[in-house]
Amino acid sequence: MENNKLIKVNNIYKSFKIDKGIFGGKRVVYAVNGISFDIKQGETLGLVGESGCGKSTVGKIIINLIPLDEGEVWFEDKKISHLGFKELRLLRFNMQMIFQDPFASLNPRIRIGNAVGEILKIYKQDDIERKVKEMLEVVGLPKDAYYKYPHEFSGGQRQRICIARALISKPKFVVCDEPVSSLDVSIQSQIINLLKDLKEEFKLTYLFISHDLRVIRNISDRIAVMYLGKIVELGSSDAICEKPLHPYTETLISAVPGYERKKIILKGEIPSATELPKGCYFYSRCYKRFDKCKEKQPDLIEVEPNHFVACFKIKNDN
Amino acid sequence: MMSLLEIEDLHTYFYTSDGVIKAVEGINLRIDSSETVSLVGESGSGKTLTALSIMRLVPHPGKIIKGKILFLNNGGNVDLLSISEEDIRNIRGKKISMIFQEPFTSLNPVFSIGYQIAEVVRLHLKLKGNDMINKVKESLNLVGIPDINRIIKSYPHELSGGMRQRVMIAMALVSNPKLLIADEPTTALDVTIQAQILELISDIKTKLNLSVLLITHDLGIVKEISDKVVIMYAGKIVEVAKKREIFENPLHPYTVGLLKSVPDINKVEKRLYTIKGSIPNPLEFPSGCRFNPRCPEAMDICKIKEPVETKISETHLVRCFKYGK
Repeated sequence: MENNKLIKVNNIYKSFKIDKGIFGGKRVVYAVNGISFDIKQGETLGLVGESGCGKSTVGKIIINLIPLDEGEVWFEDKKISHLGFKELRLLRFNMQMIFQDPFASLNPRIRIGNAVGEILKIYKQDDIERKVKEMLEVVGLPKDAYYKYPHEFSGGQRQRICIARALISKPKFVVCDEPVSSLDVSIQSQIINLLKDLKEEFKLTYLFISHDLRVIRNISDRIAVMYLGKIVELGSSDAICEKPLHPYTETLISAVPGYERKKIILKGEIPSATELPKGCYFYSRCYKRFDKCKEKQPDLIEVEPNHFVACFKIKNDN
Repeated sequence: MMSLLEIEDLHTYFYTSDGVIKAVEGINLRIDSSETVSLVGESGSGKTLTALSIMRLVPHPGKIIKGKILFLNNGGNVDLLSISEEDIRNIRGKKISMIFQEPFTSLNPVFSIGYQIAEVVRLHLKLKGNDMINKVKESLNLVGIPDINRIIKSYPHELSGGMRQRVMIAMALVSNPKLLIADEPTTALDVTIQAQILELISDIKTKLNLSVLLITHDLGIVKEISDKVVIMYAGKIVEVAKKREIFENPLHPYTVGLLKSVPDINKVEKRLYTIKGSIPNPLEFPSGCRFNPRCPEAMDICKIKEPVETKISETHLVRCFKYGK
């Protein structure tokens, strides 16, 4: 494996066609517009951005839940985009996903034991009941949860069930898509700690998607900031939070409530993802913009070691 | 300072087929004129229900059992819970307005923005024709909406989430109320939009000399815009204090735990602080202090008796045996 890179994402694109009804015709939403990054073995990469910026789409593309339009995704030296159904099934054993809403992601009619153990059944493993019960205990649930139904659990407990289900196959890579956003503060910190512990115990690699920078900072090694389907800044967790360079990252960090720093209040509208601007996507709301930004798109350039920014204001000659 | 609203010993229960849910039990709360009070709690703590009780909008099968809500109206105090349905209608939406979490579901999708605000103007201010239209425009101008002539004619789905919340605020403020109840006004919005809306609320508050009851679960937001903070847990108020007191000297173990468990963007903790256990089932709240099964400092007495309010200072109240009876 090259430099311990577990995941390699190479210039991926994804758009969705939306049918606007009989007279509306078709429109195309450009969700992901050329994204590249790697995730090292044992690393947590945080993916942050506002709603509609394409961060969940990226997560789903990586584990092959939705096909991509262009680009490549590599997992352990193997190209996994464009795989067939059978090979995909094998892959799922190694890659799993945890979703935001633990209420919607559990079938109300299936007992917890069966829901968690399903993947083992598919792969015809033995001793499923013991393995499931062990896993339930690892995530902090009582053993008798095995026989219960989802409605008997609270939101935090359900998220623990979803985590058990994702980890039962001992995957190497897990996409966590806003796993704590729907939980109360006191429960949120329990789940974050659990995810950290499990990472150590099972030597996991995470892609952690969230809109909450406070959460992202506390779990990620590196952070990628997304805006309208592009990465605008990528760097170590400390660098992004303490020395943000891109104006959008600065805005996001200043907007986290409860700190005595000056808030940057953005003016201007977010461009529609159906009609992408020609220049920098952030141009319409940027407070540091100049003429060049309207015409050309800045590349993601390494301005300091391991700190990448896509902005003409930060030595970007393109 | 005169108190604008005073809640005394409010009890709101739900009568469900599974049993009685004591969702709000014995709440005392005071809001002064031009004061911003934050009501903080997790899901099921009864914070939204307290607000709905003030508006007398408690949904079925809920019922206000006991208590008084005194509101300063035309120089005298009226008890919102004992006046007639007709009288409360003259206060609700006119003197006390409310904005909700999801601006999309609170606006009617089949009427234009202008029409929906005009409805409030017609009903509460009894204005017609050009006066009415001018008032609508004035209110949209107040909340910083650009291109008003176009927005008046647009429908909710044509606006972004932040714009819709601005429209909701315009609608709530057009009748010039004394109290604005904001129930999680920014929870559904992105952080950059949230910052805009919070700034708007505090600007307007000073401009109109408004009192605000802000309901939220986010302590960051509380730190941004409140004067007084009220912490609720399982239908009861556990601590009330000035903002500075809450953040610098929190007393109730629940408040302490809440403050500690919020991740900090400036600091990376190896392990985040957690409050053990989960929020109790409202059908079977624990006996004694309702926080005792999760409390790191619980004593024997906490399981048997309920603590009463203890005054630490003129502005700081706490309900915990560590500090009193």
